[in-house]
Amino acid sequence: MNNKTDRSLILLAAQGDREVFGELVRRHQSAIFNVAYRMLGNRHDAEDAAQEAFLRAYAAFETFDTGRPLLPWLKRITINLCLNRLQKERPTSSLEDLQLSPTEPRPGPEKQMVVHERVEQVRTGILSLPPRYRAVIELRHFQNLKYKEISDVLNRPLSDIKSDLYRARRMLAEQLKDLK
Amino acid sequence: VKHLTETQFNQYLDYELDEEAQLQIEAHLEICAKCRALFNELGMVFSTLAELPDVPLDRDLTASIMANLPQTQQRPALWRQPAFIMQSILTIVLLILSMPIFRIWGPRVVVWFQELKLPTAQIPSLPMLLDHLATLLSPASYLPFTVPWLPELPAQLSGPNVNIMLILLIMTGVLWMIGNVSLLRNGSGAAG
Repeated sequence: MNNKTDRSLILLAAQGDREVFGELVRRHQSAIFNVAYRMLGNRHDAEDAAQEAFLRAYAAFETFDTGRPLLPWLKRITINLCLNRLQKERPTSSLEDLQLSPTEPRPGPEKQMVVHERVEQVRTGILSLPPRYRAVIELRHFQNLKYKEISDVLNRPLSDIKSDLYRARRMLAEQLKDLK
Repeated sequence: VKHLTETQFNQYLDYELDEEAQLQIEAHLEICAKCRALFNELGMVFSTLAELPDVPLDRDLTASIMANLPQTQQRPALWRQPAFIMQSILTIVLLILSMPIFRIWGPRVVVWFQELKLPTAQIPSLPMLLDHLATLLSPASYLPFTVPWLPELPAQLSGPNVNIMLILLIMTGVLWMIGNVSLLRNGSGAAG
């Protein structure tokens, strides 16, 4: 099964083959986890959201256009799921509460500290954004979606997306000012 | 100096401008220190986000996801589904009903078309078609010949009563089509 393309697996999974769906989970879990991690900011919540995203995808597999790539669809489900969670649990956690896991790759002894600190600052900067700004940053910068596609995924007007994106970038720029 | 708008910044940074508009913005950035400073700040956001590494997943989530998948409802084989069985029965009824009908109506319809002598390049009027249709349904138009290899109608349904069979045939046909639509909507394919 490992050699099979996503496309051939998708066709089987769409017919309800659980084993094949398991293989798709194995292939894409890391990417989905990372989307959730950027949105939610901690491992436990991100793993939980990734699992729920896959379960939702399985339940909604009938609506998936099997001619299209699977991963972007999974990522969109994940982003919307995280956004819903964040909006439900308002007020969002303060920066002091954000405890990022020290899990980045480790390059060298001293440089490692600097890189790690920088990465943490960026993640903290993203997590300091309001949820809907976080979602547009994720969709534009990490998923490379066009404005119109972002508007479709989030089901919000195009003008709102453009303005949120600008404001999110301004806020991030403020957060990252001291980062050199 | 008129500064760049939010939209212009967005579109420029996201490469959503044509070459001419892009050059105009670059020209403005050359002369406007305020917009240039903001552009540099926003540009830094782009490069910083692009460098953000992925984090490794500590454990395989597959097992717990698979354990929480809903139990699949085993759909019975196509030939055991009620809709399919009903369709098959209807198809058989339709065939049985249609055989004696075609025994009589087959040649009748052929002759009916032959008698519909339309002047060339003229669309038949509705009254004309209705008049002609009446001749088809009239008992006087029964033909002495039939399709010999098809079964005959029961005695009590022969003659003018053939219309009862025709109505039955049409009703069965309508049911058959509704059943097929239902099967297609369930993604099971049509019978018959």
